[in-house]
Amino acid sequence: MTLERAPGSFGAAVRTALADPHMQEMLDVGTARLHEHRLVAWDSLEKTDGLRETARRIRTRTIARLDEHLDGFASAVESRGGKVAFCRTAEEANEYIVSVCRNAGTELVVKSKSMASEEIELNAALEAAGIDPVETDLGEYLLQLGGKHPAHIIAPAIELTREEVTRLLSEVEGRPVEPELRALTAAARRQLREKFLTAGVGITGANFGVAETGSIVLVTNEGNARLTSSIPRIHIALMGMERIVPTTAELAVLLQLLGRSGTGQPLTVYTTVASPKQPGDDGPDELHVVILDNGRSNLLGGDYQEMLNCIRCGACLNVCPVYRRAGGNAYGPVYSGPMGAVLVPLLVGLGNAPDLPHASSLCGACANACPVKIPLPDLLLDLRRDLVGRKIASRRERIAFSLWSIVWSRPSLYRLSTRVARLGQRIGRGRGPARAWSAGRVLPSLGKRYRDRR
Amino acid sequence: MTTKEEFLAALRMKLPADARVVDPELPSLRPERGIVLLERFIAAAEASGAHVHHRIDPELVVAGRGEDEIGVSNAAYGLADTGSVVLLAGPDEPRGRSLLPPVHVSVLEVDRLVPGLAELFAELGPDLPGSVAIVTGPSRTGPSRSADIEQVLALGVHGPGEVHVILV
Repeated sequence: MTLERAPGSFGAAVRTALADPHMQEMLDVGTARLHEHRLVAWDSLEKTDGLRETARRIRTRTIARLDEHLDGFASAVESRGGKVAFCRTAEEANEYIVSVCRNAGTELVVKSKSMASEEIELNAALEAAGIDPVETDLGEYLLQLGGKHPAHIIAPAIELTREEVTRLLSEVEGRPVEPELRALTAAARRQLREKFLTAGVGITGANFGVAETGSIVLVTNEGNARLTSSIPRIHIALMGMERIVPTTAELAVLLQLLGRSGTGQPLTVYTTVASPKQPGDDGPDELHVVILDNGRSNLLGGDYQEMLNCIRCGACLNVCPVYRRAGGNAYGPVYSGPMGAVLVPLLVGLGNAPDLPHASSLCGACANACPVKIPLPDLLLDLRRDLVGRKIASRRERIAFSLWSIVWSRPSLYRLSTRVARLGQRIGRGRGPARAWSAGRVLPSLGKRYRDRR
Repeated sequence: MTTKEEFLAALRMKLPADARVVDPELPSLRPERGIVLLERFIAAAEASGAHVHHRIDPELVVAGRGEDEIGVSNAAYGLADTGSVVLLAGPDEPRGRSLLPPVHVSVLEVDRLVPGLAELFAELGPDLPGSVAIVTGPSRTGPSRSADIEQVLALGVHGPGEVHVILV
């Protein structure tokens, strides 16, 4: 499965990222800017903390009755003429979506940015069925042309240079496009507009699903989700099963937080609430909502249920000192930053992503930035504990911790250990692996313990 | 008989200027309407990059442009907090008109202004049309938005790159 990460892959990817000065600069500029905009947007909002707390409670209450809300949502969509598919695995979801496209007899599908579709590798499944999926978010379109994966939830192509963009768009045009922003945007608009008008199916993700009204909520700045869900004859929305809100009243609260947290906008440019169409509307004839589990139910009823509260705003990425150096792809092809470091191991099993819980300094900036107050550092710590407890941690790490536990539970050995530590601190400083770490830091002396001073 | 002036002058003497300001923090008891919402809407819409026209002949905005270039919509509501126009899809409001042409002109009646999302959804109730489009400024990519080409703002990526709101 695409989300799985081999041990050691995070460190290797980070070394590559650190050696790439352009990527480092783009990460710096991009994340700092998104972060600053967020702070300004928060300042403009009264009682921000109250709103975050309300949002946290809304999400927690909703997830606690997820089954009931999904049931209500499906009934509301169906009673208005839409179709709902419940898919436990990526394969089921891909199969359903491919069959809808096949029945429609289309060979071209337009897509608007959806992390869930990356998660299930929908594009590969469509291509295997002879269907051409075209990403329409400008950044994702460029990445698709270049054969790359998104590196940021909100700003997927955060690392592309203007030269690369010019080359990619010129290839499609069959003639050189001027390396100037207006010309590049116009070329992309032209290329993609043609796709919108000929595609038989439009596939979107879903920022939220409203149970009461049977609606899918889509949030973009470019307007591509509104086009994708309006122009082709069939609209398929792929929704992670936790994205549900009971009514539009809860939706209003969460939308106020989503734009501010993601990009620092009070509201994104296009907020579309799409429901099965009513008579006289020029929208799509069919709406299919694909509800995806794909590992999410692993979190239900357990210690990590709160992670299902995540609204995928990206704020935790922009403040994370590890993400800001490592970049998104180090975490894997889909979810990155602190939310990815928690979510991915839970979706695929800790043993299949053992590096990710360690991809954090536990500084706490992510928890402070989170609009629904998910205690991300606590969850990362819990995951590390589970790694050790379930013997997934490396042999060396396990031996070290069992030794530590034996030594520190016996007073005599404990006393000895603190003396050895002081000695080790004097000798070890400036040598071996400790050298790089201690070179730029002043270490507090491992002073005499109370016990020794008596 | 005391005249009104005499009567009120006697009271005025007992209430010097500084005694008149009591509890200025008491929140407004009227639902926000009219001028307060209007000013907030105009400020927010302009901040989002839309051009706002108040008490102006709509013909002046569309003059000199080709028919294909401009799509005109009738906004069902306006959100004062964010400067957004709300379009409800239906026979009189096709989606393509406000989405495909490069210029979007939206006509909004001043008395259709509501403060924000909460009030909007309360007015709409649970029976929603096929599309509720909440549009806040022109289509864009860029620094504060998404960072697609070296994180520089670009307008009109997909939707209209120029948005006008005509308040009537």
